[in-house]
Amino acid sequence: MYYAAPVAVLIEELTKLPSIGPKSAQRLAFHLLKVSPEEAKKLSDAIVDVKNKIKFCKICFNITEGDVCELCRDTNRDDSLLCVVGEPRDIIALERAGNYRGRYHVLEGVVSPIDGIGPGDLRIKELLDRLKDDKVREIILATNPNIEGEATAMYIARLVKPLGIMVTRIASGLPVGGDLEYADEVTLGKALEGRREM
Amino acid sequence: MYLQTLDILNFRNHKKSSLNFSSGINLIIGKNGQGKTNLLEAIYVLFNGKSYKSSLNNVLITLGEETTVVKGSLVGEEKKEDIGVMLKINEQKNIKINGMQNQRVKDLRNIVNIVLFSPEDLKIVKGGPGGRRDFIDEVGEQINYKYNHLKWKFLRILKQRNNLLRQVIGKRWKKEELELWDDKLVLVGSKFIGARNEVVEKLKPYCHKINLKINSKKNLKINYLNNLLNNGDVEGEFYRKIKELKNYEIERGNTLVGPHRDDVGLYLNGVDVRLYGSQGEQRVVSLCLKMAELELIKEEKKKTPILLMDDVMSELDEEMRDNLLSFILNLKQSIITTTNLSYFNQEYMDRINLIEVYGGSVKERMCLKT
Repeated sequence: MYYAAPVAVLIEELTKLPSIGPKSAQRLAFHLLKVSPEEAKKLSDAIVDVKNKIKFCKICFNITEGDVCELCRDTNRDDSLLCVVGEPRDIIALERAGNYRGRYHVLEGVVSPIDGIGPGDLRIKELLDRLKDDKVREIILATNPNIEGEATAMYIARLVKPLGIMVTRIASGLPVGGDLEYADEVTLGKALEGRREM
Repeated sequence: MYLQTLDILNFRNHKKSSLNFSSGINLIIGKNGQGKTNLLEAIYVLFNGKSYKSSLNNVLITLGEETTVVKGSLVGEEKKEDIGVMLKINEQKNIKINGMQNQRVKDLRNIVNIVLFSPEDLKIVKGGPGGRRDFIDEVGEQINYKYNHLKWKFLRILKQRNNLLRQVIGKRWKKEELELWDDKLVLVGSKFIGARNEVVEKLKPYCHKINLKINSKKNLKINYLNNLLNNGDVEGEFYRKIKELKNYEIERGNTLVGPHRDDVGLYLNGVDVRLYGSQGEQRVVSLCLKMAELELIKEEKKKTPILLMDDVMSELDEEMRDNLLSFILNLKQSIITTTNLSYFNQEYMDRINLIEVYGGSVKERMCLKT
């Protein structure tokens, strides 16, 4: 397929984005060709802005504009609870749930030897430093329930438990409002294992 | 349940074929290279969403075409099910069940299971341990819904651990990280060993029974070979072994203990048929294993699987052919290809539905059934 050089470059760059394939990239590129120069500038400025202004919070490594993120500055939050997540976007999901009022800690990844990521590449040392002032009573491990997430949770649990802090893992099971008959077998099996007395 | 009709479009050398099957024995007859096996493969694809011959779906589509469709209708005692699989070049398969699109292979298997015996299955006995592990896994996946998940999970952990082993040399802190993956490997690996062992134990009585029927007078024994199973504590033994071999594993960059190195022992009258069996004995044993699979699935799922057999009679002697035939006669449905009608005992002929294939089309049907 022949494109004018600038279009080819744009398509190539768009293809690098997650969940964008060659066809989607082409559609986006041709859309951008049609929009007004102001609109296009707005988009490119937004991208540059985000790279310049957004930093990682010094305390929890969430994304923030200042040195310390809003969640860490909020004095109404419970200092004795600490929720450990893989990525900043997990915080957004948990905050949407709305019923958690403790603090967060972002690991910036999970252990995965295939991708060359070991515990040394994660914010685990920083997590242990945060536990030194004895404020935290419970750590909630909220990494994804896949193999790498489970391994990371196991690793942290092993480091934290000797410190005398309670370590919990988020439950996995049935989605709320769903039907039993539509749940896949493995999830249903997990839900049965994790049943609770009423 | 049995397959009553099959419609295929652009599947290998079949441009457009429609077939009717009956319950009991269906015989597909034709010369070499006319498309008998392709019909069996189409039925296999209809129930598995993929072929047993190739992992590439593109090769199933007639050259120069873009889509192949295999449709079938199944009849049971109370209900009828319409299923279909559509494959397009470089696209995801689409499974349709009773008009509902995008169904899963699991849903197909809940309707009815398929057991296929093809000449390639000789490798279960004659080939390396991998083929025997694949056979056990194939049985496990059909009788235990957790099996596939467990296998997938184990293989993922194995891949992560092997990657890590290759990074350890020269980097001290990676050694502690390795302990983490050791734990995961042992935990999931032990469960997987347990699941595999259960499958082999369940197969055992059926192997013995079927072998007596087909291979009269001889005694077939199947054994799960994993040295972690020797004493009761698999997990403890697993830990001990990887600790012992740790340095060797790092050197090789590979996990040396675990279910990925399992084998299955097969003994005919006490003699290891993998090593000392003749070609004919190995063929019969692989046939017995497949029929044991069928009987086990029948018992576990309370439904008789449909049997597909690709050109097996030519390799058996007359006595075994008759034994096999009398076993098959009791099944709900079997579909068998052959080049030669004389392999089949004439007294059964009135109970067999005959289908003739010529040059990629179903030329004529001679229904001898009364």
